[in-house]
Formats: sequence, structure tokens, C-alpha cells
Amino acid sequence: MNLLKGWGMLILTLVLATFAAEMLPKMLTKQGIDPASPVTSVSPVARHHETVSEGPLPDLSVYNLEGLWQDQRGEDLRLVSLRGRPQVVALIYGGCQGACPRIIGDIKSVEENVKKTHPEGVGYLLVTMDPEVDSTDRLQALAQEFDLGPDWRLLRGTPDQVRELAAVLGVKYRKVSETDFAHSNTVSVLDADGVVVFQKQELGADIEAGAEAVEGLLGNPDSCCQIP
Amino acid sequence: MATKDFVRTHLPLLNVIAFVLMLAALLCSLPAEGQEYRRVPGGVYQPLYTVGEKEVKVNPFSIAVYPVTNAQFLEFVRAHPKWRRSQVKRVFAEANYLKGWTGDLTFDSRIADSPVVYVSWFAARAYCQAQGGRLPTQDEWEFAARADEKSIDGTGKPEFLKKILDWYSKPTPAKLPKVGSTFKNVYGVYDLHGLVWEWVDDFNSILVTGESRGDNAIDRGLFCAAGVSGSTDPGDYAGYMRYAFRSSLQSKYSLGNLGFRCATDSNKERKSP
Repeated sequence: MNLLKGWGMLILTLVLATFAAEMLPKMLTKQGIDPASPVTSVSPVARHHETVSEGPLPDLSVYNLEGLWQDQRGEDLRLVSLRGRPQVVALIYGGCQGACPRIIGDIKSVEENVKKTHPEGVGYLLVTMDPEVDSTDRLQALAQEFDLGPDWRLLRGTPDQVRELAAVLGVKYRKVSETDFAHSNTVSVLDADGVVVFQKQELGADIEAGAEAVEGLLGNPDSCCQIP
Repeated sequence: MATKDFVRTHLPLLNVIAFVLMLAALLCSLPAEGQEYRRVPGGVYQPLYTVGEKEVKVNPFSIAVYPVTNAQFLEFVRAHPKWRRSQVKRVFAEANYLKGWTGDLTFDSRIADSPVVYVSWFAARAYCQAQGGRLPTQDEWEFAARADEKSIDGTGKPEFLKKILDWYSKPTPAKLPKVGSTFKNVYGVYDLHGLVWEWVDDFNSILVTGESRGDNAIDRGLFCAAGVSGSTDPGDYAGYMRYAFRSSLQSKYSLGNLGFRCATDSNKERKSP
């Protein structure tokens, strides 16, 4: 009898253990515990002036990246809130002495070209690759130093968010010292839905190509209305 | 009959046992679904490509024993539909994504224990995050991959480098071997060389001058600190190939010879039975 009890116990234990090991994870996932899929509802915090395009985001949109960013005014936003007008985007960092002022200068030239025909039709986005050092105050100071207007947003996110954004934009960067990064100088133009339509390494002499890409998105009044 | 009586008389006790077992199963089975890890104590190493810095300090970390298999990745996409082949967003994975599978949740059962390939960086990252881990950094991966069967640094041994190069020179077989089919290094980690290439978290951090696009002069113009970058050990051709390969990747790429494994900061080591 004692032997039987022992066996019974053992079998029961095994059955229960197997059941628990098999079923529990499945039950959990069925109940929808899903750490990798954060809720994709619209951000309650983003305060934006842009017209928001309707409908689901295109699959190729950079705005499919989730997560909260902070701009130079300390305002929280999700990338998707930038939807509605084209954006010119680059990664920079505040301590950058060489390439970044040049990148900002290039984008400002694009702005000047585009502004004539489409004031406020375009947004300009600078994302820091050094969010630990570049506080919102530092970004604000950078905006003032370069005299960046209201259409410019300087963003900081978590290092993970920056790595992901850089990945979709094809930007390479690496911290090489306490103060410096090695990085590619990519300038990207996104359409109103956040899809990359134009990219240039080192805009430099090709500022006009960048401006043309933006004009193309906006519809150039000079070319659009000429009836053949 | 005896068993039935036993159950009847001991029901409360059995309930307690069942509860404890379920708790135990809950605690053990969740990580077991994913990857098993080994601890790498970290240290200082000289990466092949140094940009500014000379030696790099690698903090202690844990790395998965094997690359993620098709079977493991299936569990993941089952639980996270947005990473299924038909639902993944193109910005996160190109059309080749999970190309070796026959459907959203199906593949030839013979590849169940082979490393999953045709996965993008975003998908690999999401998998590891779902396991409470992350992709290893490039420095971590390289640090762990220096180890051979006997020592933590085999890169000084010509036969070790030759073995790696021999693998690089062979085409990827149509059906990949099972994980664990290559050598086990001194940390107890398998397949770092010889099975598939692996994603690292900061694959987009290396600016190799003279890489595929254009000549050196042009590339030098592309990168801020490119002037100081360069190979520290031009003899390590295998290492050069890895860096060159990584620097050619884009985050949505899904390639037939590119898989991944996870890592974590926490000490997750569990001895295998």
C-alpha cells in the first residue's frame, strides 16, 4: 500500500508538472501578456500643429518606430505626430565641432530654397546621437546658436530609440571618446507620411537636389501649373 | 482504486503541491522557452577596427549558448503576430523575411533546430527583448568569439584563424545544420564561428574606410572621425570580413546566412543537464 501511494504520488507529480510546464506559457500568451507589443494607440501627449494625414501609416514609414521623444522645448512627442508635412532629417550631437555645423548649414540652405515657395510647408528634424549629454536645454541652446526657426525640432530619445532611428535611416555612428562620435553625415527627406524619399551623404554641393526633393513632395508651383 | 482513495484523502495536500509545481513551472519554463546563457567575465580587448579608442573594455555579460532556432523563433512569432511573415512592416524587414519558411507559422520540420535566418535586425532585437534580453553588442560578440575550445583568446593561433577562414570560404548550405553542430568554446558557447553570421546590436556603428562604396578619399569625406580609423591587425582577415560584412548591412536586411543569438547583462547562467 505504501509503495502504491509512493507511485501514485510520483505519477501525479509528473503529470501535473508536465501539464504546468506545457500549458502555463501558452495560457499566459493567450491572455495577451506580450511585452514586445506595446499598445499602439495615438499618443496622448503629442501637441502638434501639423495637419495629421489620415489612414494607416505606410509600411515603409519611419514613423512606425514607437517610443516617446523630447524636443528642445521639453515637449514629448511620438514620431507619428510629425505626420502631415515633409521633414528633412539628420542625426547630430551638440559637441560636434566638424561635420554637424556643416549638416545644419546644409539643411538651412534647403530651408531657404524651399521657404520662398512654401513657407511652413516643411519640418526640419535634428536628432541627437548623444542623448545622455544633450539635454533639452542643450538642444535649445543649439537651436539658438544656429538661429533655427519654429519649423525646427531637435529631438532626444533613449539610446535604443536613437539606434533604431539611425538604423532605419541607414546612419552609422559610434562613440569614440568622452566627447566625440564618428558618424555618417546623412541627410534624409521624408514625405508627409514619414517614408524616406531622398537621401544624401554629405549634402554639400547637392543642396539643390535636397531642395528639389522637398519641392517635389510639395508640388512646385513653377512646374505644376505650366499647361503644356 | 488505491490511487483514487489517495487522491480523495489527500486532496488539500495535492492542491498545495500542484500550486507549488505550477509556480515552479512558471518560473522555469518561461526562460527555457528562449535561450540558455553562459557567463562571459569580460575584460579588455583590442578590437580590429578602432576609431579613436585603443583598447575596449567589455563588461561581464551573458550570451546565449546557441543561435536562435527556427522552432524558438516560431514560438516568438506565434506570441507576437506583428513579426509574422505576412504582417511585418516593410520598414522593419524586407520581402525576404523568413523566406525559408513555408508560411506564417510553418516550415519544413527538418530545420526546426537549425538557426533561424532571413531575419532582420529589428526582428532579432524584438525576439531578444521578448526574452528579457537584447542583442549582444559588437564588442561583446567579438570578445566572446575570440575564444577557442581551450582559451579565451585563440586569435593568436594560426590554426584557429584558418578554421574560421575555411568556413568563410565555403558557400552556405541550402539546409543549415542544427545549432550546436560546430565547436564549443571555452565559455561553453557554441557556433560563434562556422554556422551562420550573427546580428549585433550596434551593427551600424562601424565606419570602415574603403568599404564597398567609392574610394577611400570619398569615404573619408563621409565620416567625421574617419581619419583616425583603421585596422589594428591587418593580419586578421577573418575579422576584417566580419566588420566589412556588418558595415554592409541595413537593418531590414533578411539574409540566408544571417541569424542571431541574444545576450543579457544579468547573470543568467544555468548549467545544462
